[in-house]
This record gives sequence, C-alpha cells and structure tokens, in this order.
Amino acid sequence: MKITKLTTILIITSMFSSASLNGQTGYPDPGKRRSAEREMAAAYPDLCKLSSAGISAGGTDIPVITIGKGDTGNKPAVAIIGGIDSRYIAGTAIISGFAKMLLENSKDPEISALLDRVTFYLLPDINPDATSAFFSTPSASVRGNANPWDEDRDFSVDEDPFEDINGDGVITIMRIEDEAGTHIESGSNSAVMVKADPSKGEKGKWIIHTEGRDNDGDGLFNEDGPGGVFINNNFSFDYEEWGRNAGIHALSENESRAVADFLYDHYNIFAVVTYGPDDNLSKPWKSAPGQQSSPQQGRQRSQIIKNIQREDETINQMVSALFLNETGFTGTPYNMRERGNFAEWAYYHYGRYSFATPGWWVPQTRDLTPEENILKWGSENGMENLYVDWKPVEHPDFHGKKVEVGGIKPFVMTTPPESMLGEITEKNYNFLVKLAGMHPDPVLTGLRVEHLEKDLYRISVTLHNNSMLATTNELGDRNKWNRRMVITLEGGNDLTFISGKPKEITGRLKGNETREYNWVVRGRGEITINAGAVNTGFSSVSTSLK
Amino acid sequence: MKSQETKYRPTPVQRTGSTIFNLGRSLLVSLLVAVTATLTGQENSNFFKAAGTPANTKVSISWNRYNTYDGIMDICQRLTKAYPDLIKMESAGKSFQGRDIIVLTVTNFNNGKPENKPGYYIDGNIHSNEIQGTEMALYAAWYLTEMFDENDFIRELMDDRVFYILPTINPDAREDYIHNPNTASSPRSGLAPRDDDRDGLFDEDGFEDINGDGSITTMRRKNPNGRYRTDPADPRQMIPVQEGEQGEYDILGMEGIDNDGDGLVNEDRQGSYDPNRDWGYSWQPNYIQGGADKYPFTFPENRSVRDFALNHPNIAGVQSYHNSGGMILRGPSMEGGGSEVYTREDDNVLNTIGKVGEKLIPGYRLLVIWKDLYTVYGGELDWWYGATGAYTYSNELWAGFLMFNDPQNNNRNEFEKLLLHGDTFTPWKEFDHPVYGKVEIGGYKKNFGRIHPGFLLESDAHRNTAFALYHASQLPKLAVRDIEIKNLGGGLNEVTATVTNSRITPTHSGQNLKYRIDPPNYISIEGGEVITGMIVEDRWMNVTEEQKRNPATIEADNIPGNSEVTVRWIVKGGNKYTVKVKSVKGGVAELTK
Repeated sequence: MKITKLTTILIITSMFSSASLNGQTGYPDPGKRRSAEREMAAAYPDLCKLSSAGISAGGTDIPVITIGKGDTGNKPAVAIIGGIDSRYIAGTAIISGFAKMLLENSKDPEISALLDRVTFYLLPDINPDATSAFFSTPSASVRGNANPWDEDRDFSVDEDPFEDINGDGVITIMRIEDEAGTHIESGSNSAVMVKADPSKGEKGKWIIHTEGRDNDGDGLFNEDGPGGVFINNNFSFDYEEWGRNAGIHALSENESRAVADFLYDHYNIFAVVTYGPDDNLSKPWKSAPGQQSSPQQGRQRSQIIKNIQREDETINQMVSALFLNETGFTGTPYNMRERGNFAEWAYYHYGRYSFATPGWWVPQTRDLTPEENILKWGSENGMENLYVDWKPVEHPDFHGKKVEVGGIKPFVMTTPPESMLGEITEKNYNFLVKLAGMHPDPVLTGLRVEHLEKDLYRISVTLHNNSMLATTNELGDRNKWNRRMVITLEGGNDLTFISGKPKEITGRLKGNETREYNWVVRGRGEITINAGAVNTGFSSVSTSLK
Repeated sequence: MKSQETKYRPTPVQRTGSTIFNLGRSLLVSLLVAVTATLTGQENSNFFKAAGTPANTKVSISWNRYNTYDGIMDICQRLTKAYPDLIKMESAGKSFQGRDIIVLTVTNFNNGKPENKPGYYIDGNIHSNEIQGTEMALYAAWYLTEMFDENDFIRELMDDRVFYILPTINPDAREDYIHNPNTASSPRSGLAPRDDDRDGLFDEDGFEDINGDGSITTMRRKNPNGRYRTDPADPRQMIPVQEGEQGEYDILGMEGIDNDGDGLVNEDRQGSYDPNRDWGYSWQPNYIQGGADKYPFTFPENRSVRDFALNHPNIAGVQSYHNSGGMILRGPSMEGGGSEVYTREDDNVLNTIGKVGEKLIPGYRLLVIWKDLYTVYGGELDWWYGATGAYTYSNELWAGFLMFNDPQNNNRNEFEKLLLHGDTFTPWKEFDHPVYGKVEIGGYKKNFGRIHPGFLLESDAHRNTAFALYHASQLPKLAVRDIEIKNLGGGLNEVTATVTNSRITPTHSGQNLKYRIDPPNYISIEGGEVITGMIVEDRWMNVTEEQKRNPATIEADNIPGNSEVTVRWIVKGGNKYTVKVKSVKGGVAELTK
C-alpha cells in the first residue's frame, strides 16, 4: 500500500471540517460524520453499506458500516469498535477515516484482493449519548449513556450535575483555599493540582472539586449528573455487581446489547479491534500458570478464566509487534483498564481475537503525572489552549472563601489535535489492513485418489491453515459462539461411505497447522470436498472418480 | 333435580367453621337449596370438610394431574372471576413464542394497597420439564383464596402480605414437554433455536418418537458381548454386567436417528440452553457455566420476571420451584460467593426458616447450593438475593423418600410396579432403525421419575405451600408502639416512639444494606413543628444520633427481625402526634397519640 501522506491528510481533513468549542477543534460532530458516511456509501455502493446495530438509551442510532465485496456475511471479518468511552473520541474519527481510506484505495490491487477475502464491520460510535458530550456546551467529560442512574445511591436520580461556574463553555476544576486543603499546584505546570506529599514536607493548600454546585446539599459536588451507565463498564467479563456506573446487571444497556447482538449475529468475525481506553497492542496481555482453560491442565470446569491463554498470548505479542511497527508508536498509554470493559469481553466471553488501543497517546515521561506529562508534551509541540488559567469566581456554596476555576480542559488527555488526525489515521490504517490480511485461512491441498478395486476408492486430502492465526483462538474454541469447521465430501453417483463420514465437524487448526483426512468410498463421478467455517473462509477441491 | 342439588350452596355461617353434615338428598335439603342457592356463591355441600383443606370451593381443581398452558389459563381465570377482591391476573410479558407470562397478585385488596405490603413471590417451571412447580404455585393461589373466609391465619396473611404467583416462567417449552415426545429431563431449555454442535445449523437433529408412545425412551440392541443384561428382579429393566458375566444388550441411547448425516444422533435438539443460568448476578459464559447463553437475561421470559421484580421492590421473600431430589436450596451458589457473601444475619434468617421447611416437608433437606450441590453461575436464586436483597429458596420438588416414606428404600422400579401398576412403562418392542438396524425400544415414559405421580401431588403441593406461607408469615411485620410525650416546657415536646418488627425477617437483608438496594425505613411524625430528630441508640443512657437533614422523617437503615428501633423528635406545638413508618419491604404502620 503506497499512499502519500499528503493524499491521506487531504482525505482526512476533508472529512473533518467543523469546529467545536474544545481544545481540539475540527472533530466532526455526529451529524457531520453521519452525512459524510452517507456520501461515502453512496460513492461506493458495491463496497459499502450502512446499517444500524440499535438505538441508544437517549434514542440515537448506533451506526454500522460494512465494507466488503459480494457475500460479506460468509467471509472472515474484522469488527472495529469505537466511541465506547467519550474520552476516546479520537477512535471514532480514526475508524471513520479508515473507512474512507479503505474505499478510496479499493482499486489498489492489494486492497481489492483483500476485500475479496475479508469483510470489515465498523461500529465507530457505539455510545453516542456519551460521545455527544464532546460536542455539547458546556463540554464535560460525561461518560454515561442517557439512562437515568443513581450514581451515589441516595434514591434521588441525576440530582447533582456539573455547572459551568465561570461560564467559559468547559467544565474544569474548582479549587477552594482551605486550611485543611489536600492539594497544591504541580511544580511542573500550575494548571495541574497534585496531592500534597507530607513526606516531602508539603502542606495542602487547596480543596479540589469538579466545577459545579452541591445541588442536593450532601457535601458532594456533581456526584450524580444526568445519565448514565458507562458502557465500557457494562460487559460481563469481570463485571462489578453494583459498580458505581456499571448498570443493573452486565449488558443491561441498549448500547452494550446492540453491539453484542450484532457480534453474535455475525459468526464470521474472527477478530475485534477496539479503539478506546483499553490496550493490549502496546503491552500484550499476559498468561498465568493455573489459568489455562484446556482440561488437560486440570482446570475445574467452574474455574473462571481471567488470563489470556498461552497460544493466544503468542498471537497477541505478534500482533502487538505489528502494530508498533506500523504505527511507530512508542511507550504505553496510561493504564485506564476498568472492570466490565468491552475489549476483554470480546476475548473472554465472545471468544474472538481481541486487540485494543487508544489509537494515539503521548508516551509517558518518568516522574510526571499523566496531566503534567500531556501539558509538557503540549508546550514542547506548540499546542496551546489545553488548559484554563486559574481565575477567581464567586461560588454560592463557599461564601467568603477564595475559589478559583481552571485546570486542564476535558478530553485533552486522550484527544489528539485535529491537525494530527490524518497522520494518526494513516498509521492505524496500515495496521488494520495488515491485521485483516492475517485472517484464518484453511486451504485444502494434496488431494489424492487411489483406485483400490472396481469402483472402490481411497481419497486423501490435507487441510492446511495458511495463517499465523488459529482458525479459532485457544479460549474461543471452548466457546459455543464460535463456529467449528465442517468438512464434507459430496457428489458422485450413488456414493457410499466405507470409511469416513460425508459430513464431519472438525477441530480447530492452529496457525500453520495441517490435518489429514481420508475416506474410502464406493461409486463414481465428480466429487467435491469442502472445508471451513464462516469465520475462517471456505476451501474446496474437486476431482473425478473414474 | 340432580343439577339443582349440585348447585346447593352453604350459608355463610356454615362456611366459617361450623360442621356441615351431609344430609343426603332429602326433601329438607332440597328446600334449603332453594333458599340458600341465591344467597351465596358456593358450589357444593355434598362434602365433609377434611381438616386444612377448603371443602366448599368456588373453583374446583383436581390436584392429581398436570395442566397445559390452556389449563393454567383456565384455572387463573376461574380464580380471578370467583375472587375479584382477592386475586388479580396480569401478564408480566411475552415468551419467546409469544405466550403471556401470567402473574397472579393474591392479597386482600380491600385492606391496604398491595405495594405497601411485604411481598412474597412464587414461580415454577423455569426448567421446562420440571412442570410440577406450576401446580405447586397454583395450589398456593387456590388455597389462599379458598381458605380466606375459613381460616384466621390465612386471612391475616392476606390482610398484610401480598403474594405474586407466576405459575410458569417458561410456557413455550412446558407445552413442548407435554405435547411432544420428550424424556423426563427434556427440554430443560426454552425454545429459542441454538446451534449446539456449532456446525452452522440450528436444532437440526432432535429426538424421534420411533415407538410412538409420546415419550422418548431408550434404544437397546441385542449383543452377546454387550455391557448390559436383564435384571432378574424386574425383567423390564437392564443392569450392567459384572466381571466375568455374559452380556445381552448394548444401550444405544435415547430414541432418535441421525437427521443431518454427521454420524451423531440427537446432538442438536430444540434450544439447549439453561434458563436458570441466564440471570444477571455472577453470570459466567458457557465454557465456564454450561447452559449460559449470550449474556445475562438473553431470554424474554426471564427479562419479564426481572422487570416485574424491579417494579415490585416490596418482594422480600421468594420461592422458585424446581425438580427433583427433595431439597430446600439456598444460596450462595458459588464458593466464597463472589460479591454476595451472606452476612451472619442473612445466614441465620435463611437457616431458621429453612429448618422449619425441613420439618414441614419430610424427605426434603436444607442445602447450600455451592457447598452441598454444585457451583451455579447466573442462577435465578442468586439474582433475587443479589439484585433485590430478598430471601430466596428454591425447592427441588419430588423426593425418592416419598415413594415408601423410607429413607432406606429408593427402589423406583418396585414403586412403579406396586403403586403405579406399571402405568408408565412402555414395554420393549422391536423396530428397524435406519442406522442401527434391528433395535428394541422401551422404558419409562416422561411422566415418571421427576414429576410426582398423581396421588402424591396434592400432598406435596400442600406441604410446599405450607412452607411458602410460613416464610411469608415471617416477612417483616412493623408496628409503631409506645409513643411517649414529655413536656420540655416553652411549648416544646419530646416525642419518643418505638417501631417494632415482630417477625424473623429484617426490613433490610445484609445484601440490601451493603449495596443500598432499597431506601431506608422512613419514620415520620405529624402534628407539630419538628425542631430536630434522632435515632435513640440507648434510651436509658441517652445515646442518640441526630439527623440534621429533614429531621421530621428519620431514616432508619434497618429494623432487624424480632427487634425494634426507637426514634425521638423535639417538636414545637401540637398535642396529638401521628408516627408513621414506611418501609419498602416491611410495609407501613402508624399510631396516633
């Protein structure tokens, strides 16, 4: 794939032409993005279809973009998910940009050949109630869907939201000068408040709250705003019962069920890539002894598997190396893993290869907090407008006290400036295209027919997995939501099976693995052997018994 | 003449306890009939009341047979028509195939709002083949309504508790079990199609009723080297051969053929998931917890119950009927309990009530699921306790003990022969099988082994209902007692009130308190201007905890079982005070002084 950077940037910037009130301007609001998607689908009617996975709690459509050729449902597929966490709006832009690039390049022989073999399901914005917060005024890091939720379990719902006290259109931090203060300004950047460290002789000067009022007079600020269940805490792997924003039970929400239903309905998906807070592409998941699912390892059936299986770990390491190589990213993003997240669910409960990345990050510098780190990076790279200077305000809940509002703007930590989007998207594009090209690939080879006697034949064939990936991964093989490969021998005139079955459900093949099949049949005529499953693709060979 | 006699109705006096003598078909009675028939709604007085059972029922039901879905609807409709002030019927939702999930609300509707009474929930038949839970649940509805006028205990229960009775949680597959050929154990699942063998086809290889007896029985084949031979004690049965013995038969499995030509028989039957591994508490996927499906509450039947439960937070006690084995099951269902470790108080409540159950239902044992049985993730019982904080049991109906009332004798073949007279055994008969050639097919029909034989059904229904009613009677019962008014001078009064709970169950289980599932108990005062309010922790040492926000309504986190909470207000003005308590699972009470 040779695409000049210039072309890419032109493509991307043409999509992202609107402005927002945030530090990062130029991200397309949902309306703009959707109309760009519609134009794209109209321009490539044979390759691109738009559909809906469902409706969010707030009544917004959860869009699906299918890119592929012909019978897309019967080819191995990669599902790419974004927008699960509103802080990672960049993922939505990367996926939209990826779609556009893929279609623009669809005449390229390599991409054209890829689309012959593989289907892409893109769900760029699966939590639209939350991601819309990025485009709202005031802009606040709101992560929940629109489902009313009693965050503090005080039996009043959504009674204490944020307020834009200083009227600057963004919700930041309030600091209140107080003798019993816990925080001081960071030495690295005064926009950042850090906890005073008594071991260094530091004494706190400020009390910190998010910007707003204590609407219900319970001493807490903004602890129960409008909405919402965090969709990335609502999946069933390592789900936290009664977790603060986890929902009434795992997959209780429209959004999580819509995505899960879409994935379960598409048995052909072999890998899921998530653009969001989780990451196993810079730092692969680790296996652990005693956490192998295969029964030979002595696992009790009811033991909950919480670590990646060894064989899948190897694949994760290989794909991670590919990602870092294609993107040139270094270091690791700040660890944001939370319980009940989607990316781990996709591996542990959906049973597919699951890869996750924020898609962009600032490499962490030692001894700096993530906030200090991003502001340092910003000043070194000429980014302005990432924070609000501290300015005093009159706050009705703190009469007679010195209260100042300021600090880092919402979304800054995780959202690259619009000017970088083209380059970031191109890097991720290169990775995604390579990953899709690695789809499981069982191929029938070495067909042999031995004429034993009269109309009696022995037929042998080899099924070889041409891919590095297994036909189903090690954990997924035990999961009923993965199809098994079926091998059939059909045709001939009055074919009878002396040895072997006309249809057999067959075990998985690891990467590069081979298995032999033999039949002894009686009969004549054209026969066809077919092998595979929707998530691996099919292979077929024919011959004549004569 | 005859039809007129059967329409005879007793007088109200007779119904409320006096002995009714059957005077035969005398002229005197005929005369009486003419007078009383128009006065009451009763049906028949040809009967002498057996103790503990309503004799003169408005709704006659035979408790020695099983009901189809239409039969269930008929019973529910007849009960609601006969007792409009005691029972109402609604749909909690639709099943996968579109049947209504019927729920009965049973209470004295003339005494308080149902939602203000502690609720007791009963369901049955979540496993489709475990059908007698439905009859047990219906028996409770029938017994509560028919006994209402006859029995003080029942009247009190109906006055201050509400029962939510869901006869079948799985109507589609109940119908399949009854009408289609099945074993005693199939289908456990609901009827949403599933690809059990993961070959891309759904439900493509089910049972076939080759011998046409309406049940799926066993296929055997003569083989001198087989591993089975005829049981000399009962030639209908086969037993494994011992070392050195010559065999007679192979057992080939349950009746069926290889429908899809993959060399396997009956490997992808209808559904094949477990509706009782579908609940949203400590859920785990299918490779850890067999029977789990896509995610918690995949199935509409269970979602209906979830929504019903969340709309009725007053439900404080739950019974979910299964079969079999004679067990009173309680949680937790997994070791350590994950996040649902039971508090000591919850443990005590469940054990105390459960032990009474062991007494009421001989042959049934109180067991903790994970410890005494096996691990279950995503079970209904754990969801009720985990998500609503209600004390929950699951009775495994039908115990081998019931056959001979003898813990030593579990011989079901003998029981079937001597007490059921071979009614459920299809004799072995030869058939041509497309794969196996000449086979013999025979064995017990689906109505033997897991569901009660007719003559034992009513007896066990009564015992299990008695346990449910006992549990319901031990839900919280709140009263405001001892309002003490002390004049502090200057127009101020100190008003102290005690709120008691006279039953075993606390208003808030440990789980409920841990996760703040329900609001606290609100104890409020009317009749003056409240200056401040407090909970009195030690009345005699004057240890109190003041509530500064909204002091007129004191928030008491829990009113424990057989215990009390004392509250106090300093009030300006007023000379008559009303103290009210309102509790989600404990009901309401008030007192004025």
